Amino acid sequence: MDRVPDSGEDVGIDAETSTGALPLPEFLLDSRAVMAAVETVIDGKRDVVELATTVLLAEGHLLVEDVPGVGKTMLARALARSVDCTVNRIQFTPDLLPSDITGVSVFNQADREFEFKPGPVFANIVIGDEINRASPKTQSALLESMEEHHVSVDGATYDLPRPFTVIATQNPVEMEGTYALPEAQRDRFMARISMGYPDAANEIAMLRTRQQGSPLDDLSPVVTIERLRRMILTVRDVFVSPAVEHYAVAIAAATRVDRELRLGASPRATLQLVRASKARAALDGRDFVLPDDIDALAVPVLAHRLMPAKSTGSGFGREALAEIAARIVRSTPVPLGASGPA
Amino acid sequence: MALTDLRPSPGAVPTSSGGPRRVPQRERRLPERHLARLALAIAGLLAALAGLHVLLEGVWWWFAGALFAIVIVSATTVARALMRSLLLPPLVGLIAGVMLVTLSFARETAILGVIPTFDTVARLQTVVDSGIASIVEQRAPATAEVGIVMLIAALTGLCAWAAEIFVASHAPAMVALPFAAVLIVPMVVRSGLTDPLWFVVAAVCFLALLHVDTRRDSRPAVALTGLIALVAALLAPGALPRVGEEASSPVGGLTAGLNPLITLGDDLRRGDPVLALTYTSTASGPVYLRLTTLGNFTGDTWGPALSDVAQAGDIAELPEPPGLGTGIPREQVDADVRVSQVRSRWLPVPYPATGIEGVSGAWYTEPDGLTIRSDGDSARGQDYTVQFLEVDPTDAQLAETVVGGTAPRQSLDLPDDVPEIIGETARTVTAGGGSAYDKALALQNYLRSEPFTYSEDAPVEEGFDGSGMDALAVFLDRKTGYCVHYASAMAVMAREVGIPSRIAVGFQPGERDVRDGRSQFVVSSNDLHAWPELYFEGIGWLRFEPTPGRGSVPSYGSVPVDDPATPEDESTATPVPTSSATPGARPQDENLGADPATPAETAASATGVGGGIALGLLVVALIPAVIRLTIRRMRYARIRSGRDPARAAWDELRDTAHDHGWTAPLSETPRGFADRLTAAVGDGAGLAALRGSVEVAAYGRPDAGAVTTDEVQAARRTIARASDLRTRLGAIFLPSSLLKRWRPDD
Repeated sequence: MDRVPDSGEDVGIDAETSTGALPLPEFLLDSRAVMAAVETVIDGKRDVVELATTVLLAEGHLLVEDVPGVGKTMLARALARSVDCTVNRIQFTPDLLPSDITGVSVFNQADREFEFKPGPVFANIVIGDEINRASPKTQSALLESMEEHHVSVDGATYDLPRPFTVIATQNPVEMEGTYALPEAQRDRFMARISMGYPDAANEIAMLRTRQQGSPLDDLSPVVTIERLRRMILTVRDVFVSPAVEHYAVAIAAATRVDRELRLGASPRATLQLVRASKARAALDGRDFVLPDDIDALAVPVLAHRLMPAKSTGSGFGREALAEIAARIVRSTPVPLGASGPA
Repeated sequence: MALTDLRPSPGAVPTSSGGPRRVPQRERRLPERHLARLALAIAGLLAALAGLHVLLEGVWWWFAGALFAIVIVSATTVARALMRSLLLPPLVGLIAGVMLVTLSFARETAILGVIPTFDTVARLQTVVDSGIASIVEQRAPATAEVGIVMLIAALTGLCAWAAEIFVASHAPAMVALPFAAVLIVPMVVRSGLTDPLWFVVAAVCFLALLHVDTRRDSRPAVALTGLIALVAALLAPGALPRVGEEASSPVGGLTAGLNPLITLGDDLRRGDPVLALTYTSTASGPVYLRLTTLGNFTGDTWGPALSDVAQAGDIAELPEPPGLGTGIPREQVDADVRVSQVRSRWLPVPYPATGIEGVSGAWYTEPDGLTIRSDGDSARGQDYTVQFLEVDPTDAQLAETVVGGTAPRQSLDLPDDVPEIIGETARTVTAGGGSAYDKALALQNYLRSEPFTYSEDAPVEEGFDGSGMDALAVFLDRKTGYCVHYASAMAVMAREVGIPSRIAVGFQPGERDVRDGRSQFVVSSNDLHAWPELYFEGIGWLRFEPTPGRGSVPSYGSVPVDDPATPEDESTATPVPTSSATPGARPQDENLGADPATPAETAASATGVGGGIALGLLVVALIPAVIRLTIRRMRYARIRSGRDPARAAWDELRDTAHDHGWTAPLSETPRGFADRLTAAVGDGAGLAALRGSVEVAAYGRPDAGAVTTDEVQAARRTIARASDLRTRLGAIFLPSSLLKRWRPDD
C-alpha cells in the first residue's frame, strides 16, 4: 500500500552505499538465484520455496507447519543461508524463557553497570524451531518483537536489525507436547505454509544427495544483505491499483460475514495480503499487482487467521479452513477497470 | 461503493481458475421479490391485453385472457416451488393451459372434461377456424365470438407463460417480447389504431419490473435495454408492411360504417376471402347488389347524399325509382338473397327494388338511393326476397338523352378546384359528341381500354389511394387502380361534362354455382365493388362499369328494335348504332367469376400478407442480435475513447465466451479466464494479447497501456473459430449473454 517509493531507512539501507530499489530485471535474476539455491536443498517443493521467498521479500514472517521430518527447518535454514545475512536459530522447548530469546541485561563488574547481552532474536533471519513447544509466555516474547521490530528489556529498547524475518516451524497442534499459538499471535505471521510429503521421485533423489553429507553445507550465499534490502525496496514500489485494493478488501470483508467462520481476517491480514501480492508480482516480473496474485496468496495468508464457527463442530482442521478461504476467494467478484469495483 | 456489493448473492456458483466448481444447492424458496416480479409481468400483460378494446366489443374476452394468464402462471409458480427442475415447471404450466383450453372450449369431447382426445383437437380446430374467419370477416370493433375469445385466451396464456419463464430466468427485460406480442396486435390490424393509455400502463409495469429486478450496478444497462425494447415495440409496427389503411373514420367498414367506400380497398386486399352472400334470381342479366350510394363528392371523398341521410321510409312501400320514365322498357323480376358474412347496416339489394319480403329487424329505406338500411340490425344471416326492375331502355331512348335538364340534388356538384387533368380528359374523351349516353359510354370505354389496368395494390404502394380529386389526378396519370378509382373517376368526369352521377357500393354479381339443378350465385368478400351510376332525364339512374376486368358491362340498348317488350320503340324507327362501333363497348355479359384477374390478385394479396408476417417475425427474431450488436458497439466506443477500456473489453470478451457456451463468472480473474479458454481453444495468441492489454490497463499504473478493439476482435475470432457453426450462429442470433446480464449468480 506504500505507493510512494521510500528512502528505505527503515529497512536499514545506508544511503551512502545504496542506490535504492533494484530494477526489475536485476530483481528477477537475483530472486531466481535465491530460489534456485534453496531448491538445491528442498527438492520438488517449488511452491513452498516461492512462497517463502515471497514472504521474505515482503518483509513478513513465515509459519511453516507440518509433521516432523519433512524439511521445515531445512527450508528455513536454506533460505537464510542463500542470503548473506545474520541467521540465528532458536530451538523452542517447554523450559525456554523469554530472556533466552530477547537477551538479558547482566551486571558488568568492571564497568559497574548493566550491560545488555542480545539474545538470538538479534539477526536478520531468525529460525524458530517448533515454536509451539514453548510456553505461551516465551512465544509472545518472540511474537512481540516480530511486530514491533525492537526488543524491550529492563526498560531499555533495542532495535532489531533490518530486514528482520522470523521463520517459525511448528508441528500440528494435535501432536503431543504442543501449545497452540493464540490467534492474536498467529495473526503476526504473514503466511502459513505446510511442506507436505515429497513425492516418490523426490524422496529417492533426496536419499542420494544425503549420502554425501548435507547439501546445506555446500550452499553459499547468492545475494548480499544490501542486495536483499534493495530487492525489498523494489517490492515496495510495486503498484496496487484501486481495483485490486477493492478486491483484497472485499475478500477480507467476506471472511468476516461468512456463516462458517467465527473469526474473519483482520485489517492487518488485508495489509499483509496486499504486501505479499506485491512481492509475488515482482517475482513474476510485473510492477503492478494482479487479482491473480491476491487469489494465489489468499489461502496461505488468510487461512491461519480464520476461526471456524462453533456451530459447525470442532472438526475443522487446517484443510477445512483453507477450503473455506478458497471458496470465499472463488465467489468474490473480481473488480476490473480503472474505476475499481465491478 | 459498499463492500456488500462485491459479495456474491446466496446460491452463487463460485469458480476459480482451474479449480473445481462447487455448485451449492439452488434456493428453491420463492422470495417475495419473485412474486412481485410475476405480478408486475402479469399486470403489464393484462394492461397490454386491455389495449385490444379498440378491436373488440365487450369485456369478457379480457377476463378470459386474464383467467388463462393467471392460471398458467400460478401453475408454473407452484410447480417451481415444489420442484428443483428448470424444465418441468414450464411444462406443468403448459399442461395447465392445455387443460384449461380443453375445459373451456371443448369440454364435451374430453375425458373428465380436461384431458384432450383426438376429438378435442378436431373441435378446437373448428373453434380456431371460426375465430380466424370471424376476425377476417369483422371490422373493428368486432364482436368477441367464442373463436376470437379462444384465440385471445390462448395468446394471453402463451405470453404469460413466456413472461413467467423470462422472470424466473432472471431476464425480466425479455418480458418486453410477450408484451410487444400483445401490444402489436391492434397496430398490425390497423395502423395507428391503438390506445395509448394501455400502452403506457403496460410500459410502466415493464419499467417497474426492471426496477425491482435490477442490481444497482447494472441499472444503466437495464435502462438501455429497456429503452431499446420500448423503442423496438413502438417502431416494429411501423416497419411492418401495413395490412390495412388508416381508418379515417373511427367506425369504418361493413360493420357499422357510414362510408364503406373508404375501407373497400382493405376488404379487397384481404388475403382470405369469406362468403358474403348467395342469391338466385329470375333476372336475365347479372345482378349487382347495392349496399349504399354516395352522391356527395366533397373533393376528398364521396359521402352519402344528404337527402339519403335525412329521409327514411317504410320498406313495406318502397318509393318509385327516381326519374324512371313510364315509357322505359322494364321487367319485374325478383331475387332470393341469403346473406352470410356481411355485417352491414345496409341490405344488399338490386336496383331499383320495388318490394322486399322476409327481412327481420327494423329496416327503412332511403328514397333517393333506394337503399335499405337499419340503425341497429345487421344484414348478417338475413334471408329475403326482393322484387326489382330490369330496366332496359332502347337505343332510341338512349340516343335522345341530352346533357342538362333536371338533376337530383348534389349529383352535379363539383368542388371549385378540380384538377385540370380530370376536366381535360373528360372533354377530350367525350369530344365525339352525341347524346349524353354516348358521352357516358365514351367515358366508360376510355377507362376500360388500354393502358388502364386493374390493381388493388398499386395505388396503396404509390400513395394515391382514395377517391378524392388529388388521387384521381394521379390515377388518370398512372392509369392503374381498382374499382374505387374507376368509379370515382367516371363519376367526376361525368359531372365535368354535365351528366349527374353518384357512386354505388355493393357486390358485383359473383360466381355462378349450379347445385341441385338450380343455379345460384355465390358472392364473396372479394366481390365487393364500387361503380358509378349516371342519371339521364327520363330514364333515371343507370349503372356503368368502368373498371377493367371487373363485373359486367351493362348492355343497355342491346334490345332489338323489334323486341316485343319495347313496342313503342318502333315509332322512333332507325336503330342507332350508338356503341356497337366500338369493340368491347357492348360486350356480352362477361363470364362471371371466371375473370382471371381476381384470383391472381387475391393470391398476390395473400402473398403480401404472408410476406409481411414473415418479415415481422424476422424483425422480432433479429432483436436479440441487434441488442447484442449495440452493446458491442457501445463497448468499442468506450474502448476507443478510453473510458474504462479494460472493463469494456473484458466484458465484451466474457459475453462473447458466454454466447459461445462458456461460463464466464465474475469471480474469475482475467488471467484465469484466459488460461481456461486457451486450454480449451488451443490457439491462445489472440486471447493472450488481449489479456495482457487488459491487465495493464485495469491494474497497471495509470496510463500504462491501452486496449484496442482489434485485440478484442482477434480474441473474439479465436473463440468463434473454436466453436462449431451451430454455436456460432446461436452466438449471433440468440446470444445467451443477454440473459446472463441479469443473473446475479453468474
